[in-house]
Amino acid sequence: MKRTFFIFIFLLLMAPYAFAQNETPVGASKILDANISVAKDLKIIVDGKEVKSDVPPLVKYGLVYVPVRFVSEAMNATVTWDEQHRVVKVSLGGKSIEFFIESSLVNVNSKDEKMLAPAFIYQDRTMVPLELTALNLGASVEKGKGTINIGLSKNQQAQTKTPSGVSLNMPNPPIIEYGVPLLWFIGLLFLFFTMFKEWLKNKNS
Amino acid sequence: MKGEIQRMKEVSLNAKRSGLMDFIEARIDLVMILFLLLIVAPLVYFVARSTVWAAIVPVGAAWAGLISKEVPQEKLITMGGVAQGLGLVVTLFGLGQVIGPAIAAHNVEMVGYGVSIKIEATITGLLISVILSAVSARLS
Repeated sequence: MKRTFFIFIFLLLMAPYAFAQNETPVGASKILDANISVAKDLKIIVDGKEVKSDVPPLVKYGLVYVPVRFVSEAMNATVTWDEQHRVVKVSLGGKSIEFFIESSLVNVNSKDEKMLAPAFIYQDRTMVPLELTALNLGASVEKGKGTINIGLSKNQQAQTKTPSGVSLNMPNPPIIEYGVPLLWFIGLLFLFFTMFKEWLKNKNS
Repeated sequence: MKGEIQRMKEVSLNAKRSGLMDFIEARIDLVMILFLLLIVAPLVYFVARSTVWAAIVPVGAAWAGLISKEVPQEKLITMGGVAQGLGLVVTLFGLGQVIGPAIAAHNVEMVGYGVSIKIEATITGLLISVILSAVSARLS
């Protein structure tokens, strides 16, 4: 009986981990689909300087995609990631653009728009369309043969990277969210019962 | 007559006080469990930013005390050890949950924020361990 009870408790304790595993977003598609090609020779020039990314730019449906980190580093933009809703927000100056991963919906300066190809995750990097991002953040974009020139305005260059409200809305597994208060309540009842038993014992002796 | 009644009341109060002190000394484990469940757990739940995760630590330590069949003083040491261990486990689990996606998204701010939040469980565990060890040392 005791062994069964302890096995039950052990399983109960292990359950959150199983739930947590199931709830972890597995959006990282590591397989290149037929519409994506790697643009190894494409040069990205920001304000006259070539900027290189550790992951080569990708081309999907004719759009050049770069890791979101590249955008934040090259253009000095602020990037926030909402894990719960899987949204990447890129802000620069007073402008912002929000990408919903694997969704054609884009929020440009608080206005919903549809885009040709959605942001996606490739080799654990969030890939966003470079031209669309740059243009919506107020930069100029010029496409040449094998090059993309991005021009930042002066006040964008002067802007420093400031930490913004980072979203950490990680949903807790329900067994943790409700299990812990339940365990607390049962523990309290158990404690009062033990104290009552102790009091009875003292009284009788 | 009035003086007699007053004296009897004082004697009765002293006896009650001494009974309570005896109980606290004899069953310090139950008192500490009560402290963990009624004071520490709600405090952590409402103050800590990791809320329910950090609250696992005092609740877990209290449960270790409730199911333990050791003598009260040894129970306190066990509860302290469980609190430390649980704090570390919860922190590492939380870090794995937060830091992994944060690194994948190259969000340095979120990495820092995640560490600062998830470390709360370890701090709670260590604090409980220190308090329980101090109480246990005071009793020996």
